[in-house]
Amino acid sequence: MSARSALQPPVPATVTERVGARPRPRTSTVAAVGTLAAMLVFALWSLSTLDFTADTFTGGLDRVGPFLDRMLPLRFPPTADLLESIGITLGIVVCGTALSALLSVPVAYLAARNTSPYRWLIPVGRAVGVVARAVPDVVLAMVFVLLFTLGSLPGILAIALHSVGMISKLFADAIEQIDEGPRNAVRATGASRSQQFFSGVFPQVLPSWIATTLHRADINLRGSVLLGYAGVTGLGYDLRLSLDSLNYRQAMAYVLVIFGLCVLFEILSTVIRARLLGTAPTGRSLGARIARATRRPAPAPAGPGLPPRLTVDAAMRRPWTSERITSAAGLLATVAVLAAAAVWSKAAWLDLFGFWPQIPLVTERTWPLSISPRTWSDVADALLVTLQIAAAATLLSAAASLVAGPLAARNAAPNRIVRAAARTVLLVIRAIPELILAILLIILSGLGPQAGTIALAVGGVGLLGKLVADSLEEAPRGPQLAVQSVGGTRTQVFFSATARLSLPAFVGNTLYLLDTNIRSATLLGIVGAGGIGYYLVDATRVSRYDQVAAFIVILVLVVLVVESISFLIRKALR
Amino acid sequence: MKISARGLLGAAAAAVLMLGMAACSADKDTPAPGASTEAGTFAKDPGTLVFGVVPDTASTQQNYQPLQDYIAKVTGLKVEYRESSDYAALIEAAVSGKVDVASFSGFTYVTAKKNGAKITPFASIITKAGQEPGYYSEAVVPANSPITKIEEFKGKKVCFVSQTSTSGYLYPSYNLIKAGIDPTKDITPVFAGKHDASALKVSQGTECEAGFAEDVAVEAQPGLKVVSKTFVVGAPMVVSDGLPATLKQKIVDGLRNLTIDQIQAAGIANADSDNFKKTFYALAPVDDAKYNVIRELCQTTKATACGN
Repeated sequence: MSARSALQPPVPATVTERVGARPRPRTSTVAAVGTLAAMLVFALWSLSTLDFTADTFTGGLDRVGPFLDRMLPLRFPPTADLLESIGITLGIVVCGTALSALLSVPVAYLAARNTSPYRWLIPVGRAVGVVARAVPDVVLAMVFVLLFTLGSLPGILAIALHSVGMISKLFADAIEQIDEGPRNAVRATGASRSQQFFSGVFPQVLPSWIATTLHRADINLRGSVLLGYAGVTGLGYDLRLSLDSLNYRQAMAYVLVIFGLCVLFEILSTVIRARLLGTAPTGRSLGARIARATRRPAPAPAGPGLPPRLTVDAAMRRPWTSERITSAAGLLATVAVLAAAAVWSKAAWLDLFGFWPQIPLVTERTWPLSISPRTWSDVADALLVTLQIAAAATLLSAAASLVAGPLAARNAAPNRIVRAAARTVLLVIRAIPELILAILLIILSGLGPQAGTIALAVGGVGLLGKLVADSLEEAPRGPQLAVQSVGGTRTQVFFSATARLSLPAFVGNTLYLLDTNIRSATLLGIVGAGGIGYYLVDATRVSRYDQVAAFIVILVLVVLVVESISFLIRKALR
Repeated sequence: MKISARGLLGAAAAAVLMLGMAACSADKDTPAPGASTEAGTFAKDPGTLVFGVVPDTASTQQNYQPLQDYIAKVTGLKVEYRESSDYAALIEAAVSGKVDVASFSGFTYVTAKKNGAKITPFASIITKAGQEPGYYSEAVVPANSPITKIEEFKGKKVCFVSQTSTSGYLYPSYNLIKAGIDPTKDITPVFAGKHDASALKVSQGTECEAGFAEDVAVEAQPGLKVVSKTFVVGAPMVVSDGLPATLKQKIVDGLRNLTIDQIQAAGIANADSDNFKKTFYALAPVDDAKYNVIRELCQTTKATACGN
């Protein structure tokens, strides 16, 4: 540098003077970090109390051999029966999820800040979602088998009501994120509320709504295994029968079929989502690859002169452009799929008109609520076990995802092969229903909470690992390039830029997993993992609806508390 | 799938982390005062007995806690209680020696034994003085039904409980076969899933025109007519053969003829609670031969759940 002119201000002496002192963290951030630390301590303590003795692993390994002998060779049921069961299961999932999406529209309309007609209806709409999320579909199914003909209808309705929890929340979030412009424009012309909604809101949220519904259908397909335990027909029921008669050759054949369906379904829904949202899927999963391969090329830029659409003649009628053909075909295909599902599921649809007289059967036995013969200390213990399973599983998943996630992220994996392999492993893990894992683990390691914890932990890696990888890939490129440009190594780029930028997302996703795990830990009570889930299922089994309702109320409260805590933490870390 | 060194390293790190956590939390309990030094295998460790339960009858929520405390008192060991509503899980646990003491339905016991579980039945719960351990499986029809005997179930929609139910499927199938009806071909079977659901659906008469359920569920459901009943052998309590001989003897002798009065006299908490009194009067001795009847039923009915 040449000599400076006297006109320039003096250079500040220290860095502190130049950039100012580092601001003190906000109180809310400190509180959030403190809460997270407390949760981490609780999770570590849970792991230590769950009694993972070395035998849990080694003893289990000794039993793998004999178990494989009883499992192989697989014995597939007759093809006709298998196809019928597949049809029923897919029918239940599709009908249930579609019904749920329909039910979710009004709930989301009331719950979204910008469409709710009255301010006080917003929390009401949100609360409906929370309650629906907290009541497990399998418990609903157990009640519905009393009201309706046995078969698939109880399952369809259970899925429909329970899924409103997730679908209505995401629908409402989508409404809150719209661009208000079109709606204001329509409103300025004097449109009614419903016209505003259908022309100003609905077209904007439709792609995201469809994506949400497909995602939920994925989850419901995995969950349908569990509905077999409530007597809902389909693959889950067949699996349960084979397991109950200790016919592992056939049971594992069903497991394979269910797993294959889950993988296919995930691929299909990824393709559809990608085409709908019109974005190039960034993922490297099999589904995303297929989606990229089937994407239409972008339309060629128009030539000189007026585009054909702008002539008066053309404006008089809506042309059949390729987009319109595609969307019309999509609509027809959807209708066809729904119709097929309604038939395949073999549901006794007429029951919907004739079950009303049965309702008192359930309601009169529900009131007053009671937890007898359990005591409050039993309930507290069981609740603690459930929370311990969930917390320990989340901790294990988070630890494993910190390794698996980066390996599956484009900007962190050492090379493409590792990344593709990691993505595939995560997809495979996601496609295994947790219940199946839990049953296998219980067979291998005995009853008790350990098997449930490991099952949830493994399943959680599939979800959390994927979310970690996605958030790493979505991290802003600027800081990463900056570190790279000053000669940072790959490791330095990762730790000082990529990882730091996606940390809040990781915390949020881990909290979401904890939330999911609390609900799943409850359900594992069905297969002997203990906890509050066992009490709930046991009460359902003997039709003590006063107890069922009491335990559900307790669960709703717990889920509410956890959701509020994670909401506050996410808000503070934003 | 290619595996890179780096990927392996990552997987190894994850495994080490998990195992490390597991090791950190390994049990460091000192053995309980009654822990035996004699040779034997335990489900968990020599200071603990694992007590596994599948609640057997669908009408009562058995309260096993006083019984569990009493076993702890008799043996001087810690008793860990594990309950599951899933038969297969408990059978597997018994087969792989993961339970020391257990209580399950007669059908479950026979299946576990058939699959190589090393267990010995020694007692069964009775709820009234002088009772034979067991209960009744009842064939029922709606109160206004013209059906008067089981032979007339032919061609009807018949409610059962579930394929693994002792009194809701196995005994009923046998009775149907005896009456000249093939339970897989001559009727339309409906599996209601629970005893009370089976009773309820029969009383409504639409989904099922006849059916089977255990006595308690039938009594609780109005609008039913009982056309026949069969005595079902009670659910056994079993002890693992792997336990040290003296300990096994201690459990069997201490419990075989146990009465509720003895449990109360021992000062066990909740032994005088209404719920416990309702579901427990005493234990009556049973042995393996008592369950031969179920093996015969299995042979006759060829039920899937028998593992045929």
